[in-house]
Amino acid sequence: MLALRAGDESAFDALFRRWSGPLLRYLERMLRDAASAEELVQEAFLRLYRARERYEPEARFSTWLFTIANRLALNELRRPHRRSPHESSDDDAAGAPLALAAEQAGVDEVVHARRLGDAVERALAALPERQRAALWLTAVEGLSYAEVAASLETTEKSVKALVHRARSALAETIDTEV
Amino acid sequence: MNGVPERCLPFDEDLSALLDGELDAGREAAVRAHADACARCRARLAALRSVDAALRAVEIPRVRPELAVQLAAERARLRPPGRRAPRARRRFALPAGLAAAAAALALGLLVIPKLLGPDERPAPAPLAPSALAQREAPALVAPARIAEALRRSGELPKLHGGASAPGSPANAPATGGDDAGLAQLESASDDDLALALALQDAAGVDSADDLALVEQLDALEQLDALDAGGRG
Repeated sequence: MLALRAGDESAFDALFRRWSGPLLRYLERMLRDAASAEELVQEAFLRLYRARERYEPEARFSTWLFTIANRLALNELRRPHRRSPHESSDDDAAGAPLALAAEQAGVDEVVHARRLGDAVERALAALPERQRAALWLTAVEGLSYAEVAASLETTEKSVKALVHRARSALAETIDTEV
Repeated sequence: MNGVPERCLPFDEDLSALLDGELDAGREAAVRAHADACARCRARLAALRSVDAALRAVEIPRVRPELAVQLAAERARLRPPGRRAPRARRRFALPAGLAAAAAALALGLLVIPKLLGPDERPAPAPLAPSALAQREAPALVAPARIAEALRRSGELPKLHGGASAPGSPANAPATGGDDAGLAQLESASDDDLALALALQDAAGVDSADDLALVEQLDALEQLDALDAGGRG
């Protein structure tokens, strides 16, 4: 990002290659709509590009990028005419099941992994959006509570509670369904 | 919390914080000691850990290449007029007026007339370079067309330098010398130059120099020749 700020345009391509996939994966979980998620990936990188000259390395780049994405996602989720994710959750679940890395040997293990993945995906989609965001950013993207708090504009204590409630709900789902 | 025994309540939320590495050393030791002694909290810790494993197993999706192309076009549009990607090396110098005109065209007139069939081609805009440089850039037109142009450029055996494509015109301009390249840049139509610049930016051609620009112009001529051959 510092290279981009200094005018090296190729640094943008490197950032896009490294982070567009994880960002799309996150936004797909937040929005439950692949097309909208893709649009927001594009918008997040455009905002990043527009703000490149103001970038200060006070936070990790990933925190900065996911903070931009969070604001976009939460705005999108509050749009009045947005299609409810639950309207399409069945279709989405059927059309884009959680793609687990099913490299384990044996059909049983693959089937089990797929069932587990589907169950977690459904439970994740059912979480309140801030719980979903807090858990994903912490458990998957490795952000600290302080970083997530900055990203969600809340306190570390609140993030701790959000993460724990979300993780507990998913654990209970796994226990019940698998 | 429902279902949490009273003796475990002081530790329950910290089980998550333990997994996240968010406890200080003293608190971490206390939570671990409790979990070691409590079957319920040990099981719960394992269950919480399995959630993380399941989430991390979600594959990173493949981002459509068109997205990068569209972003490159948007970035080109956002760049201040006259400011292009830094040039790693420069072999030919564009005349200043022509460079400004080409930049304005690339920003404002991203159309792919050469690669669309004659019926779809917009009418050329016969403006003088100075007028083009001053005109306000209109909204970006169909970045998907740039993607199509890039895709089609793959029809050529070699886009940058080297041998001409089979079936390419025998008089395809050579790119071997400064003089020839400069002459080609100067004689290129505004439309062709704008398209070549747009393709260069959209494709993220690293050098972004004038030699690469001449090669893009060559590639466009070769694609024209392929089209002409197909129609003939």
